[in-house]
Amino acid sequence: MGLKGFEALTIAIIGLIVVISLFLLPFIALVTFRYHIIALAKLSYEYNSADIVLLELLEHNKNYQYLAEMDLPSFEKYVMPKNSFVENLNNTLKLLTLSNCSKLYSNSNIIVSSGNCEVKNVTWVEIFVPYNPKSLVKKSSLGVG
Amino acid sequence: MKGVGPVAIALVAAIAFLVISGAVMNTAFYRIENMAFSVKDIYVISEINRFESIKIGLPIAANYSFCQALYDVSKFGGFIKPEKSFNGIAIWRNYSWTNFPNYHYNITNKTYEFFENYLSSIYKGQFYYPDYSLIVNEFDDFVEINFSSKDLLGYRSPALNLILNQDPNVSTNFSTLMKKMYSLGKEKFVDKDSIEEAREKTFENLPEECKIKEMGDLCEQDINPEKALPENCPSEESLKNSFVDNINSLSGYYDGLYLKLNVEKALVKRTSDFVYESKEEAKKCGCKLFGNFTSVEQTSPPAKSSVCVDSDGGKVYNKKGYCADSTGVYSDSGSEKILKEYFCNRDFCDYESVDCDSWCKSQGYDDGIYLNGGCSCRKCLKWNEFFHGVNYTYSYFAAARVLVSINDTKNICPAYDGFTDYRNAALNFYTISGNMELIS
Repeated sequence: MGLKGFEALTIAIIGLIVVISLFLLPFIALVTFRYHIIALAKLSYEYNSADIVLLELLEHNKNYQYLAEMDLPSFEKYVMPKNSFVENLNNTLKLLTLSNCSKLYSNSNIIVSSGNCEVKNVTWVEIFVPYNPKSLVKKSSLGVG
Repeated sequence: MKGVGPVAIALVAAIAFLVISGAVMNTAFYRIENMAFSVKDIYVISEINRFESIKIGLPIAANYSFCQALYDVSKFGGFIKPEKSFNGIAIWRNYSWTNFPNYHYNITNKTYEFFENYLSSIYKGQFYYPDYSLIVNEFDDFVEINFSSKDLLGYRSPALNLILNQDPNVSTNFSTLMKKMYSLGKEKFVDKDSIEEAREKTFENLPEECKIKEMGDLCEQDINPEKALPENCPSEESLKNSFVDNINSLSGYYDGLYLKLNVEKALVKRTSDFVYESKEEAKKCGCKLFGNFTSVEQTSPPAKSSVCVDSDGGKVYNKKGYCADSTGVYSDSGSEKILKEYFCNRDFCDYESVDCDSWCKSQGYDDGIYLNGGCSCRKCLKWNEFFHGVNYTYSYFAAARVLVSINDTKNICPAYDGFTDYRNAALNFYTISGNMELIS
């Protein structure tokens, strides 16, 4: 191989590196950016879904009211059997979370628990309860798996 | 020239590596940065949602506040501090005195008080609210509760140094028959007196002779209306039972409301009197006021004698005498109206029984009795009156203390009364009615 042939090889290798760098760089950037976007969206969705779902659940006045009143002695007599209410809540949560894994708590008591699963995120809000000198609010929490 | 090729390749490769790794590193750092941002974003969303949940809950808290206020205020008659009360429950009527509460004002004030408690309970230290007005508008089947303020509701998240504000205007409807409940109470027990109507109904069918009875002419001492009351006239006890039944018959349903009357005390009293056309004193009616009795003169007893001796000189009835003969000494004696008068019959003492009353009358007196060994007489100073055209009259009085309860049977809401549960709003108050103040 002469000097001419060696120079040509060098130029080819340098060219190859430059071409790979020029074309690979955007590709790598795009792939990592895509991964980043998906990861971020997934993260946001997973961690915010509980918040959004809990709010959507409470926005329906009857849900709020019944969650607040379900511990009253005559709830079943005047409103509905607790089993039916829990079933309704469970179905609503399935629709809102698009998941079979959710847990709804009233203070520290579990009201709805769908599936034997680990919830990733738990959010909570305080809701008003019927007048009682001891307490006027209680904590309602939702975990979504 | 031979060494230039590998050096150039290595240089270009190193630059390419640096560029690629720089791009990768940049993306990795960007991702970490964004993750931190995302975590912060999650907290922000959570806090916004918590604040939003307050806004969702405000109408519900307003309803709970109104429910409790309506229950508490109405339970004791619609007053906060009633002027007159019995067992803590307001008296709306005390015979002709009436007092209707400004229930709307009282319930609105109580609602405000409870709502204030709700606002200060939620997210303590984070949620703050401005001065606000709470207005309750009454309609037949519901009330509209408006919570409004010129300023904004605030929510502070100290961890994120986040301040959120929201429009505070909230309006909600609460189903209740409050307006009808108070209107029914006012109509039946303040504007008119239904208990008084029940009393009138009790006595309106009484036989006429139980109200007035013609007796003709009677001496004063023979006037006794109670004794002359016909047997078919009901007793006070049976009239009371009838009065109570008439009051209880007012209980019933009124357009979604249930009116219940509980008679706690009822009294019925009958009084009698008489009226007459004319009167005069009449001896035939007997004496009303006598003068003093005359005194009986006393004589000294004689000693035992073989001949008969009478110390009062014979049949002298207004003197106490002693009759002595060979058998002994006997004194004038007697009891009540009969005098045993001793006198001499030849040589021996004899006696006779004398009716003092008859003897006194024969002497011009009006009455006589035996007293201290003789007859004592007196004159009548005033004779009983004789009434012409006498009518007996009977008056009937009744009064009752009634606990009135008006229940809203259509609506229930959760209220606290020892414990919290669904309850109907009930308006309770007392009414004391009658045509005579028999019950204090």
